[in-house]
Amino acid sequence: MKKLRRLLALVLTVAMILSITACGNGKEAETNTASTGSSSNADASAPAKDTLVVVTRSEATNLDPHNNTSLSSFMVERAIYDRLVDKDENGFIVPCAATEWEIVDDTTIRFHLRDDIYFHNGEKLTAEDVKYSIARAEKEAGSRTFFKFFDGANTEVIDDTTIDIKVYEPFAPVFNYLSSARGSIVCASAMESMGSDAYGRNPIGSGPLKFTEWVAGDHIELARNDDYWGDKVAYKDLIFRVIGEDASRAIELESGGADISLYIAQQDISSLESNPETEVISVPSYATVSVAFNSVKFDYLQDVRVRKALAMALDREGIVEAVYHGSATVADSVYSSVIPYHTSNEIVSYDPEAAKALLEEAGFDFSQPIKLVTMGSASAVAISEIVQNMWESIGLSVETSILDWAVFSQTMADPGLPVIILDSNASSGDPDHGFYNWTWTEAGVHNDPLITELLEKGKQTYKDDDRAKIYAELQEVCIDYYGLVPIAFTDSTFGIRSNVKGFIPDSGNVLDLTKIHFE
Amino acid sequence: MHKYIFKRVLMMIPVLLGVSLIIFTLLYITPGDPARQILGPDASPEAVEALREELGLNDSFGVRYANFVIGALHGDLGISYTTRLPVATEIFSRFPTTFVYALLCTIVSMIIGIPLGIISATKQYSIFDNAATTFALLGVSMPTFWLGLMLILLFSVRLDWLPASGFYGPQYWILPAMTIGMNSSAYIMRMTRSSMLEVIRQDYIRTARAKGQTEYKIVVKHALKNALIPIITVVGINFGRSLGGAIVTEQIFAIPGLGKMMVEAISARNYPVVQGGVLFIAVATSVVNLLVDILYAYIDPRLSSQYQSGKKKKALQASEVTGGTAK
Repeated sequence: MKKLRRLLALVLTVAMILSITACGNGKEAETNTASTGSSSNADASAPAKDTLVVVTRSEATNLDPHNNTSLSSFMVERAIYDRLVDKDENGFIVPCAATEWEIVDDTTIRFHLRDDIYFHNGEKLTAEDVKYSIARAEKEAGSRTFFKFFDGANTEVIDDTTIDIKVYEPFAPVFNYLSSARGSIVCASAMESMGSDAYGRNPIGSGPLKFTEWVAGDHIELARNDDYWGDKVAYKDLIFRVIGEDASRAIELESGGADISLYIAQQDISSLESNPETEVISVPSYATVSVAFNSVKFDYLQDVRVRKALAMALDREGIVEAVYHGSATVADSVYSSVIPYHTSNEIVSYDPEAAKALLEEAGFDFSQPIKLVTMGSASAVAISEIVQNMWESIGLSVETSILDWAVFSQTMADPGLPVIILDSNASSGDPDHGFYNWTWTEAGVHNDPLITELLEKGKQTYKDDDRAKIYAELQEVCIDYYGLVPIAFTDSTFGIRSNVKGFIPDSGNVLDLTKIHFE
Repeated sequence: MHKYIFKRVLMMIPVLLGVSLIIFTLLYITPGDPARQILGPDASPEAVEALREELGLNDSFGVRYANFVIGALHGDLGISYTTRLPVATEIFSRFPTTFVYALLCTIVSMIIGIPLGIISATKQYSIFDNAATTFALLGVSMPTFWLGLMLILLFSVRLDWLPASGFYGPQYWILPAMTIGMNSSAYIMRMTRSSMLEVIRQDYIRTARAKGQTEYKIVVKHALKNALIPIITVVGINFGRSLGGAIVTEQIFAIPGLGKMMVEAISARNYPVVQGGVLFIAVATSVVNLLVDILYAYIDPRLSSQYQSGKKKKALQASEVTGGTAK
């Protein structure tokens, strides 16, 4: 009896080990492409590489273009879906699904679509799908903030390849927003039959790459769409991997397991630059880091002299130098220098003595504690510590706290946060998007009628010259209002393998990967 | 024995209820609103309120807890807020990875730890003993994130022998398993050493030597077998702990395991995933503990006699008194 039991235990153990190995083998076979990717790198004479491996910092939340706000999702969506228009590497709007368009009146734009676009499920893309996508973008949580100006209900399908897109009032950012990931065209019938959740996990687009697999927490795999109407991509598979740890993301590139790595951290740049097999590419990003004052909810920040004094007490050059070591420039306006119509403005210079005098003149109560709040990113925390020191050195009392995003967003809505370090990325690259912080009610950056009026005017003006003028004035007004003190324009830093060609860096960290080929 | 197992399984019920109540209460008092988290900071209060209602976040603590427990009893752990997939699906898509990883780490730590422990105990105070003890000290003291990065730098970047991160096949398993294995092997080595030292001084070892038994048999059959209980306890605890996911190493090696999932879920206030994950880990740990206890009985006949039902036990005791079954 005892022997029998022992035998049974042995058999069960062997069975368990076998099943585990079988499990492992299955997995290996599935992702074979990933491992061949790394091994072919080691051997230069290997046959042409046909898998592109891109490593990002966080996982896409879903791939329903209207239901997420994740940059990682945007990048995958950019490869899977077509949009009406695209932006080329110089920021100009170029045709995509639409071949041409004309502005019919202030609130109507007529788009003429290609006749040869098919979704990955074989269905033809028609003007109905475009109307459906616009109407959906207007309503769904992830895209509503940007598409609420589109009038989906009155957008009119003229015929299969012609559509009149309506906006509620004249709306200049329309092309920038249509060319963003949120402007992706989804397959109406598939979305209706699958539902948003299932579609978000198994997206159907019409773009140059089609979705094949998603292993939660690990990677998303796309394959070349051989029936694509436009230029077909040069490689066969595209794999998006997630590596949260900065050092590991850089090492994966060095070891050849990845071809492109995003968000290369400051401390990893030198080792990647010194390695002949890897390159570091940096471009100014759409992101601006600033110290924002909630003057709407907090009385002690209402006086513009107080806000100006707080700005004067900050050595912005020193902060940028200490925190970013050359991977950012000192901000000279409220939005990044690569966003259109940016103007260089004179921002008050560092003068702690004058700052103190100005605070006294404004009758500021120095015992009033100033609450300074940041989210967890290392650079934001570093900035908040320096800001705290600088303000305390002129006799202010400053309390800092670090909140995670969940608590941050809740406290911001109610009861509100007085002073925050904001790191905002205007990923669409539109100046209207660049002023996002100024329209963000919960941040309470301003309640100035002139700013509100100029923001509206900028949105409604189509003509480039006029728009440039409005935004130039707006930047000046905002700077003088001291609703926030812009500190730094940060860079987007990418690491690539040296054999990767056709890489186009993106200021919004949403890469267009369709032009890439291997040497 | 069966009765004992049945009793232990029954005892898991209050443990799991307790664990679920604690995690539920902790999440309840943690600041941060999942609805606001999902909709973003510029969502209107009405939209947030509507979503709170839909997710059942406005119900009282008791109602929410009861709903969770009733759901869990039906095998329904809820829907993840971020991916909109059932929590059970999420957990089981990660569990094989974590299980393989935990098993590998345990095997590696045993392969290194037990032989080292035996040798340093049998050759106490020799150079080898000192070297092994130093290794153990190093293994315990080296932080896993540092050791992991160093191993990657050496084997992936310098030597280009092994892939740096991912979990796609045997060659990917080596570095992460070594990282954790080094660390826990140190504990196992120290436990083996002290437990062996205790046994080696016993009279029956001397008897075995006296009757001319080979040294190998003395160490493995007489000494090690009797020293195994504390070693297995440590191995079991390590394995149970690894099943909960190794957060740091999973992060460094980009392993899509339970630990990584839990960390992400906590920062997103993804309540269903956190609750379901903790509950699952509690079950897994309890089961491992139970298995370890059963294993004791196989190794040590004295214990197995205690597990016997009352009647048998009495009979056994009686026979022991008369010397009937004494070995």
